Amino acid sequence: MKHVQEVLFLLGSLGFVVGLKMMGKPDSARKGNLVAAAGMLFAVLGIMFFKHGEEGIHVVNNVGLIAAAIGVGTLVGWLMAKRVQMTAMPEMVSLFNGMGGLCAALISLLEWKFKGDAIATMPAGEYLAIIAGLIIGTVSFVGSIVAWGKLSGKLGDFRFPGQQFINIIMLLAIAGTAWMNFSAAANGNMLYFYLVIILAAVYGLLFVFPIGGADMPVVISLLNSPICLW
Amino acid sequence: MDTIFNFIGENISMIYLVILMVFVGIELIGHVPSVLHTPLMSGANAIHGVVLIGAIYVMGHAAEDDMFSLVVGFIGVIVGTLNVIGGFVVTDRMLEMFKKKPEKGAKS
Repeated sequence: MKHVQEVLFLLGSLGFVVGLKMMGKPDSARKGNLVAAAGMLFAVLGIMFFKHGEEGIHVVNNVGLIAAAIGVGTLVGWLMAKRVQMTAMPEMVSLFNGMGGLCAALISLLEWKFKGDAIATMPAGEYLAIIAGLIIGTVSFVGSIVAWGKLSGKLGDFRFPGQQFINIIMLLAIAGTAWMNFSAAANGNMLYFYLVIILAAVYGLLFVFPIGGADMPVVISLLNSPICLW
Repeated sequence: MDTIFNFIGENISMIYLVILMVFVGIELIGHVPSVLHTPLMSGANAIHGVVLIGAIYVMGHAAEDDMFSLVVGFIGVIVGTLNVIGGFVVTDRMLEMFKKKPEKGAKS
């Protein structure tokens, strides 16, 4: 019974794929949503109670605090989702989406901190996963919050000439900064790391301001978490 | 050139996974009637809340006296759970409206 976590994760992934497939047909759509939710429950149980580390299966550290955080999140999320008007649904989804982005960005922040001195010897794949999580999370958080503001009528459109061009420049700047951060951080220079966060946030603003509610690259975020676990 | 090849070699199973998942995603979403697009977007949003797993994972690695990590992790888990629970409940409410259209006001 060493690999309970792996089996639970497998069930979780299966739940997501089958659930999404069922959601594509009107008859089974509602059940599909529940199947996907069950998949999520399996995955959470797996990571919390059956963590498969060097010292065998164990409950994860700080499990009380984690359970408390999940409790708070569940209560608040449930109430928000139940109380929202049907007409205000899109901005609610956008807001929740932004919360997921924030979560991804915070994960990367912590992973980066935990790496500490090991940053210098980190494999490129791992660095890519952390920095991509940070960038995608930040863009998705800021972008979703702007989309939320626009959908609920708090923010208006904002355009200026050459916006597309500037957006492309911004993307290149983010990639360049992330690249430079790899070698800079190895020497203990954190400047580029913060610069990546700021640039990603600005890009999130510029990206969503001229358009209507845009859905963030969900698949990339979905892939973001297994990469973190890799 | 060598670095790129090495990178691909070291992460080959991950690269396979990403490519195959892209096709799974396209296949799953491709032939959906347009009435279901909104709930599907919302459901996919809830599913991408799996970042919650990552949040639990990193918070489970924080030392018990490391206040900064605990606070950031705590916020991360709350916010991730919001995404998951809120996403699924909102999707359920949307899909509730699709059920039994002919009978007015029918609740299941």
